Amino acid sequence: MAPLQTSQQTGTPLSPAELSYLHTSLTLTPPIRPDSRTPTQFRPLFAESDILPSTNGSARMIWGDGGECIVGVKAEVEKNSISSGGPRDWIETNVEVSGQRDDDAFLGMTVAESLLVPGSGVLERLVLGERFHWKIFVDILLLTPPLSHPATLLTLTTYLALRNTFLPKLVSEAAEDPVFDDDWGNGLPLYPVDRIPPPITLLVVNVGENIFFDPTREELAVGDVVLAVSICEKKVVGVRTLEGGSGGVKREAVKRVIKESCEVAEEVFSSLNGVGEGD
Amino acid sequence: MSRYEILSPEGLRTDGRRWNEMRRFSPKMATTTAADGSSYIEHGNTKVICSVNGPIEPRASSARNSERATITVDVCFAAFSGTDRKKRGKGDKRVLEMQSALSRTFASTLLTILHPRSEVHISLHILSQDGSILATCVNAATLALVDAGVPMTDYVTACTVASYTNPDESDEPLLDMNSAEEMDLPGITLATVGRNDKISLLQLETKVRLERLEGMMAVGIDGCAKIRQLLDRAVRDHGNEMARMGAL
Repeated sequence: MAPLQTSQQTGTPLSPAELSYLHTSLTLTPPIRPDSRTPTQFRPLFAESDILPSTNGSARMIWGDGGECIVGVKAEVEKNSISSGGPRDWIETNVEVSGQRDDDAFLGMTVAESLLVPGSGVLERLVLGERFHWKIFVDILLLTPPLSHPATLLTLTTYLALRNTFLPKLVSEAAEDPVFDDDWGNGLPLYPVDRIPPPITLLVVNVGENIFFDPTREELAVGDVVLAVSICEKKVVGVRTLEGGSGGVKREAVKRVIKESCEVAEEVFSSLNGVGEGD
Repeated sequence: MSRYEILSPEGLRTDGRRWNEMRRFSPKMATTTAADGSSYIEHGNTKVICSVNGPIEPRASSARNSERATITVDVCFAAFSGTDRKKRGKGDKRVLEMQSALSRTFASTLLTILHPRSEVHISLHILSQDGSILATCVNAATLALVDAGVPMTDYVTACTVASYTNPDESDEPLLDMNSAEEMDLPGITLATVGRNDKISLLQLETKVRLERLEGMMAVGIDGCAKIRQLLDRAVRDHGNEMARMGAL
């Protein structure tokens, strides 16, 4: 049964009849997406890394639908203090959406939560001797929000920026005040290649028996359930349902979503790691 | 006495330029499809992204004028743009001043009378700051307005000029300040309209000797003319590219 929603509710210019048509075409086997992508195929995107000289790491990503995101990572040396929340406060994430008065706290939270995966080992790399530590500021600038949900765009750009973040090398002893190597060439990566990389969040929409990655706004509108799946290396570290979606979903479908997400994420990671190597 | 010399006895500045040389200026046009017009300008290490929407229906009723179009400007400093991380709120004095300076400058150059009861919205994002920020914003906005097809009389181009005092008390104007020079020397930001040397924006935030201003302005007007050529070339290249793709 097709969902009965008006265009006001879904935010798409499609009429109920058109939405119903779209819903039917997505439930077919094999499904037909409006832009003739395969279920796991992403829309074309443009990405570049290391674009800003005044940051420790930066990245820019532009999606075909006009979504544009810039992420800058800056690191500052901070004294350890007992009063603050401890290592969990060492990474601060801010999302600024262009044209909106207030920062979007919810989006920031989504990214920040998934960054602090326990056991990723990143907090250990921020320790500077006995009394100091690095404080990492991840500033996400959403220049033009994409037509669909921005979570994927934000986390993919953040991933790219963090992968390219380098911190100056510490040359002082643990008990001393920190002194750093002058040579940027000796900088240490925040996320070394052989360690657990930063996580990404993928959006998955479930329609009938089928699941689709990187859904467009129209596909989100007719989906039964919209899931944001956070993946770190080869493990799923978080699943949550997002607003939208009509009706629930069966347990088996969620299981399939998680299984397929891992496979898709591996492809995403390998293509993102290729960014910047070509030039 | 500062630790480094701003102008060496051989006449070279800290980044190796001579007094009348500008930093690398690379304008790009139509960088995003999400806005009516957009541009990206790199001037040395200063990087600005601009997008223009308009003429559109005013989003706020205060921007509605039955005589002419209103120009609204949003300037946003990215928190990571400076050397130290610093977040500037929307109510920051400097940001508000830049916004009003930009909207006044463009209000006099755009043919706002052709679009009454509408709004032209210019949104500027500063990604990296290294001096001459207001000037780069003006240039970026001009390019984005051209891309958006908003009717205007001519290019508005801007640059900065500093005034350096030689050890023998004579003065020397320096074209296009970077942030180190901006910190140590008095300087002006100057914008001109079109090929003739009509000044549409002049900003002086520090004290400078009155007799020096004339010379600084003359150098600035030459600099603006140079930037006008570079912007014009960017627009023509973009137009040729569009024609080649068959978009026209």
